[in-house]
Amino acid sequence: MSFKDSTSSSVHTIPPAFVIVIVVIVAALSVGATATYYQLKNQAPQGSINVIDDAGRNVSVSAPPQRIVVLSPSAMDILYRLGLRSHVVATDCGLASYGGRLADYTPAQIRLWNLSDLACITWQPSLDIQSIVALNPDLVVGASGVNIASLDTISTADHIPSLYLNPATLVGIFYDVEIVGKLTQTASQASDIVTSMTQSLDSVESSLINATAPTVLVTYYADSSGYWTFGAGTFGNDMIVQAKAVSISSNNTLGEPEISGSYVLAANPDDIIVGTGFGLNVSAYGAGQDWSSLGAVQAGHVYGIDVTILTEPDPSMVFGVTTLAQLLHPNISPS
Amino acid sequence: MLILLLCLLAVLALSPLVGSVRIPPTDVIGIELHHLTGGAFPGNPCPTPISVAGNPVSCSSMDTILWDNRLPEILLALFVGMGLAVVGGTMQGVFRNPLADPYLFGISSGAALGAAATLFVSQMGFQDATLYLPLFAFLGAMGTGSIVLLASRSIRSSPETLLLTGVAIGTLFGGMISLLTTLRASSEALFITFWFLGSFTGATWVQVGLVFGGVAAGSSLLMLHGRDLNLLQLGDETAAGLGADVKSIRRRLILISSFVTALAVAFCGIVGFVGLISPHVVRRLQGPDYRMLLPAAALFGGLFLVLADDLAGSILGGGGILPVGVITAFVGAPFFLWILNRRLRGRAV
Repeated sequence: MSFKDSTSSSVHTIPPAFVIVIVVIVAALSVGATATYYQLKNQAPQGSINVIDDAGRNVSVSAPPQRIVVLSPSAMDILYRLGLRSHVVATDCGLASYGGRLADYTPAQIRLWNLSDLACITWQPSLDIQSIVALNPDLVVGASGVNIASLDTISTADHIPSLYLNPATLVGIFYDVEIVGKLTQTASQASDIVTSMTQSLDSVESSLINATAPTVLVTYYADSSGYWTFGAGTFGNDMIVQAKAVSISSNNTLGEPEISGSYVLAANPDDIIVGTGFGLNVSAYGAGQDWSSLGAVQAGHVYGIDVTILTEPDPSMVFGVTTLAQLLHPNISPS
Repeated sequence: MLILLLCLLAVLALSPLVGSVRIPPTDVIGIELHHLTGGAFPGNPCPTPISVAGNPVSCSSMDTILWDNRLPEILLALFVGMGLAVVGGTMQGVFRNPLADPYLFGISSGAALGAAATLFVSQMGFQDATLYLPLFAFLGAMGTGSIVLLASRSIRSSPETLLLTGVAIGTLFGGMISLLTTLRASSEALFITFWFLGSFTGATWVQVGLVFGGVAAGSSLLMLHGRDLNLLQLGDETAAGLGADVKSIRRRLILISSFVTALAVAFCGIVGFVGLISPHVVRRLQGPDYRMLLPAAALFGGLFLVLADDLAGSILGGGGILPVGVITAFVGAPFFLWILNRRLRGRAV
């Protein structure tokens, strides 16, 4: 193999500074282009119905949506209560190998909301944007777990408004109901739902005004390494506080921490609330670390609750506070 | 190379037919011509109506699916594949190591750390965390390459030194990524986990434009160093004796490679093995001359990644989309073992 003398090549006159300049220019273009891209998605045309969703995105529609794709059970709950079930054309589903729609919805939810005949949209590992577009929706509603970047693509590239619901607290659920009601021109129904939720929480509070607050572990999943529960500033912890109890993980700054069996053993909660559904029942939590040694287990103070009440932030969760309170204060029976 | 080009063109022509929504070829051609002619196309751009789950799909929806979703995804896969393949070939030439790839210096860990850092962007006062993900990933990757280069300047910058520095930094960043994802809610951590696996879903024309520009510029610069890479294969001393400034060439190539890799992973996550196997495949077809090997690797890398993306979007069925990194790993890992086996047996790779 023979080579020309490389020192005669003009390539060697390219200085490293040139490369750095290219890098800076491309980085600046990237910032500018993506900022412009997302500014465009936030521009609301005149005369539109506008709301700000839970990701701070400006969502606008020119008319009440008639074809809605729903990507979470919590969003479905809101739409159903607003009387908009007939406007839903598709819901989220897990992969067929995970059970399809049963991976995301309980059989009771599928029956209640009559979802069997609706189209399925898979969202993990990636959201199936093309199937959504094929349904020609005029609103897509996603929630925690759905990739916001995919929702942004739907809004900006496909020109379909997309709404992201991800309330961190119970109060956030009230806001979600209101903005969905505004977008769909069902503000009156939304107001009624908010009033009902408020009355429900007030009723629980007044019933438990003289009750003592037990310590509790509320968990929605357990395995040999610990128990998944709720930390401070979460809707899960809000539920527990509203039900007049003290979570043993209320000081945990992680949103959804996994706490060890040893910690639970040391904290020795009076009661344990476990989420059931999606293949989990009360006995399944026996696989949890140190389960049989826990005082509440030995005392028989373990209660099951529909896991969707614990993990899906929607009006059902707010009304579910009553159920939680009844389990924790069986002698008082909040209505 | 002509055969590779023809294969690539064939794949690019057929890929728009692949996806969760089956658009007939007649409609694909009609829609593409409709856009390319820049105006109203005579006749119906969508002559063959289709329906999905019992719902008739309008021509407007088919147009959006093809032009705004599927084509950007295909082109992004093409340009990322081309860029990673050229960088992989360059790295193998710079280090004279057939196992080198674009992520040699922990660049993938740097990009992943940048991406994981966006989990905390909202807490820093920026509302739209996804706006910053490509930028943070790019800066993380670029920063890692720069750190490795700077760290190696303080000691003898042999290839082994650079490699080991990259491994150390990659390991450190891996631990930081684990910490960051642990501190966030499981749904956010899951999103980052899937980003790590690589995906072109959600690609936009803006992203295609940015990646094309950066990859074209960076890859062109790398290809212009084909002669220098040939020299480096003779050994550092021989290359220096022939007039090549070995250290300067090496640093320049690493810097450019870091830039191209950073740009590639910023928008699609970590897609592995493309940069590793593409140069090896074309080397057996084209020979070891880097002046031809790098352009051929670009063609093969683009072809490979477009095919992998097509497979990722269709293999599960029912709308399920696999991360493309899963496909490239299933193909690349056995190939990697084959290379290793041949080296251990003392055969040329």
